[in-house]
Amino acid sequence: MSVVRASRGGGGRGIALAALLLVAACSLPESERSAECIAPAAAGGGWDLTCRLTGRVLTRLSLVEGGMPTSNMPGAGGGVAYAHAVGQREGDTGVIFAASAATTLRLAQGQFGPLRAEDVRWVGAVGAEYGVVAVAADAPWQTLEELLTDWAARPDRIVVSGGSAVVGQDHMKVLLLGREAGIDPRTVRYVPFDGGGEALTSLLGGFVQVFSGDASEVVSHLETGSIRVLGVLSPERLEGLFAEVPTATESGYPVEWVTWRGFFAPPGIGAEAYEAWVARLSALAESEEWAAARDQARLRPYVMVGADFEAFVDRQVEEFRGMAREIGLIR
Amino acid sequence: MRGGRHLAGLAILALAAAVALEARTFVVSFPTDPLGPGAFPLVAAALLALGGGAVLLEGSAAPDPLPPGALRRIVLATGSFVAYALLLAPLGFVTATTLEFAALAILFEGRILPSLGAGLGFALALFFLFVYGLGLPLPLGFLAG
Amino acid sequence: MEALRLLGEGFGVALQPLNLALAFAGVFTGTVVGMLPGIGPINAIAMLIPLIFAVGLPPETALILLAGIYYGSQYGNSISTILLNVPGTAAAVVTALDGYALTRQGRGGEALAMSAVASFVGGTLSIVGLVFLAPVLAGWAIRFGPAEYFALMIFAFSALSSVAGNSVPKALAATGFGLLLATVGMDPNSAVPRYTFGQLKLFDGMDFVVVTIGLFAVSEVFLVLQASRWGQDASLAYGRVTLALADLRANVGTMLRGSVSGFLVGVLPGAGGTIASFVAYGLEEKVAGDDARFGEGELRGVAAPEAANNAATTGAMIPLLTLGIPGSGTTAVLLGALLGLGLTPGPLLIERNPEVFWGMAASMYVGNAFLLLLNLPLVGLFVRVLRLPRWVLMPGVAALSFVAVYAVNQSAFDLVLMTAFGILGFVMRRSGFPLAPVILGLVLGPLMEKNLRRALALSAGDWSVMFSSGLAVSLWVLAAVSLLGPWIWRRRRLPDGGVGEVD
Repeated sequence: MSVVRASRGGGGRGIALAALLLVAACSLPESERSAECIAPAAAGGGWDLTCRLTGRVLTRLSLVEGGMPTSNMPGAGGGVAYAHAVGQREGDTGVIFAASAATTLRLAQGQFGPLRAEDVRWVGAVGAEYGVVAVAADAPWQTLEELLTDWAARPDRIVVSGGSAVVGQDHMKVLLLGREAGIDPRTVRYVPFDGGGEALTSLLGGFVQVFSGDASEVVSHLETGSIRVLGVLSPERLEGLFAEVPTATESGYPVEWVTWRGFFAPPGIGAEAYEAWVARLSALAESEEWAAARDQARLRPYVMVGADFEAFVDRQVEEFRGMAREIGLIR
Repeated sequence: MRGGRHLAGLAILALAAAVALEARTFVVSFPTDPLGPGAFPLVAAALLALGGGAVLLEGSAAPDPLPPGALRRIVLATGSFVAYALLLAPLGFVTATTLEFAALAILFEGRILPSLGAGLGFALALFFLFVYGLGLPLPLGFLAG
Repeated sequence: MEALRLLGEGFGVALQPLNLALAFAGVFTGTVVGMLPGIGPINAIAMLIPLIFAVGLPPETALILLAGIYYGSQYGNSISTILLNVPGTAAAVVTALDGYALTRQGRGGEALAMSAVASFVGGTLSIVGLVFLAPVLAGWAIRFGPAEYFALMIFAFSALSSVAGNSVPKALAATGFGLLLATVGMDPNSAVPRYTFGQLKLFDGMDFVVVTIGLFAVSEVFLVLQASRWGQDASLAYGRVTLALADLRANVGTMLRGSVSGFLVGVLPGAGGTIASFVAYGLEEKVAGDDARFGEGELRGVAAPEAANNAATTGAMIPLLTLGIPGSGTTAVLLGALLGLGLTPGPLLIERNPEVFWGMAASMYVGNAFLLLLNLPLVGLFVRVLRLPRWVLMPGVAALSFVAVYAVNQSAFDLVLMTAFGILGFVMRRSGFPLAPVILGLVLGPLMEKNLRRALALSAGDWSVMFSSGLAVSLWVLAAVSLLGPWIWRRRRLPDGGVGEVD
């Protein structure tokens, strides 16, 4: 019994102390309505880093008052956060959501249920990555053309690995290339792995013949010469290590894959609040701080904001939807 | 509870059947592997059926009856958990956690005031640790207003 | 030797005051973060990365800090696991089996001390492996294909016989249930949603933390609540808080085996600490024979998985640093940090940035020593938590479970799901169904399925691919011996067959 009695006195003191702390907590500036960035995935992914870096630079540049903390809302490849934006954050001017080409791809494929791209306000993109296609260093193919010609002749002999799920980005890249080379998408053998790292390992281990991924994923192995990058899916050649690698378009297969990283805001926030976010992202994109942070995240310069970006997203979704129809994914 | 001996086995068999039936409905619009999405759930269903069948045959001994008052306490605790889940966002983390802690503490025969005090202390400690220490936002609820 | 000279230089880096201080800060933060179930090192590291970018720490210093958080959290996690039965990671589920059983017998202090020592042994021994074997093992990891992974998973399943409890049918059903939970969500191989009932929240699958905390911690609250009168009984009292020398000596072999197996499994991308601790536990149970009482409070049941999961943490650094391939969520975040710091993890890292690799290896020795020094004296403090009156302790466990489950995903749905699993765990425990096979199925299920389907996709449906390499065949043999060996062995020793006594 002595325990209970002792803690009873402790309880009284505890309440007093706790009440004091509560008052202190409420008077903290953070509890005022500051901005928030929601990463539609768990901590540690690309969306998460996009949010955290942007939040940090926006705060540093005093573009948001009281900082912009990151929340994680994983689920359904971003679908949970998307539904949250549409259903529960309508008119909330203090929140943006990280997005990328993966978001528009899933929207186009109907993976967010009934939700559509028009349901949110697309604010802008602030960086990008480009797709690459690579083979092992001892592979017989020296150019993209050799690979695709061989592939078209005997599609059953070539297996591709990638870090995204079936009909995800890495799969789409090879399907698009295959379409240009006249390969029936249904004969393309694609095996999904958990992330680009594991997919690349399977190429190095000789389990697959082709790797489909992003430029930053192959840097270290390109450098040591353990793989050969046959093409980059960018509008122009990339600099540095990739300077020697032709674009797919140069090789005669006009395919581009831009893994842009950007943001959308909830619907119903009004023109003024929308323009405010656009202005913030524009200022961010022009700053030296962002250039440094973007380089650290291994993203390439890519800026598109406001109405341009909204139109771009519409176009991209339409294009992805056409592709999904073509391969029989949706009707 | 004469049926109690067989309840567990029957429930598991029913689950196995439901799993297997649902697995047959998976339609692949874009096949990429020979096994498909249904194969593994069928393995799970087979294990469930095997285990459930054996449990049914050997007749699992019915668990000891719950002591008096236990069911009421467990139902109350479950209710408080669900209420907590629903009230967390509107009330805010600190308020909701204090109330939930106190409710449970009282179920464990704690006294009301010390329970509330301990709850508030614990809630605040967690709040500061998570929000300021780990940068994981927790809802402020009406305190934010 | 060249490696020793370089390691000496590494110690030069590690012992600089700033690096020493940050190693300490890292393992301390890691321990605290690890104690919170479900939070894990990822969040702490993800939050620190933009800060580190901004402050401009030298890469080796930043890596020392982040790696400290990573392996420190493994240790912290065992504290809440052993004392409160709240395992925050899959690796810790194994520790919970015997660790919490020991706590209930009033030996929580011993279990904690054992875990501290085993973590230290696993941590330091594996660094030797990191230093001398990194390039060799990196090559080994690359040759590990889907078929080999699948065979490894079957081998890991041999731990099942150790965690099955006393009814084979019930253990089978529990495993099936775990595998079923593992299939919930969007199937990455076909983009088909399975058992999601149209709930977007379930598309990513059953969150491991929600299931584990529900089954273990919440059901514990219900179980204690069920008893009609508690008084101030001594069921959670604790005995001594140090380890008897004899116990330590008896566990030397266990820790060594756990370290080696944990390290080797840790090197494999994707396998990591979870499988390491299951494998080590299963292995140890086989080695120990019949006199050990695994699952009922066996110190070896704590020493083996704890040595293994810390060794696996170090092992996971090998594919990360030498191949640039992250083997787990946490190492993926570390990879992002390395890239941001201007380093390119990969075959050239050790050559080009020796101070980073060797400095980090040396700092891991220092950090593990810190952990031991920090935690052994604190064991006495930690077990005092058990002295709290039950009306504080049990609501505390509940509140900790709630915040852990909620903070990560900000989802009330997860809280309700956790409560449902709590009730299920309560019913299962009352009816004599073991919980650990559920977790084993949930954790190993996705890896098994993915790798089996990958292997068959690569071979276009030819099952012989499962036995196409020497590595795969030896793993199959190992799995067969491990699964069937004890059974045959026991039958031989019981002349009358002992039907139905296979446990």
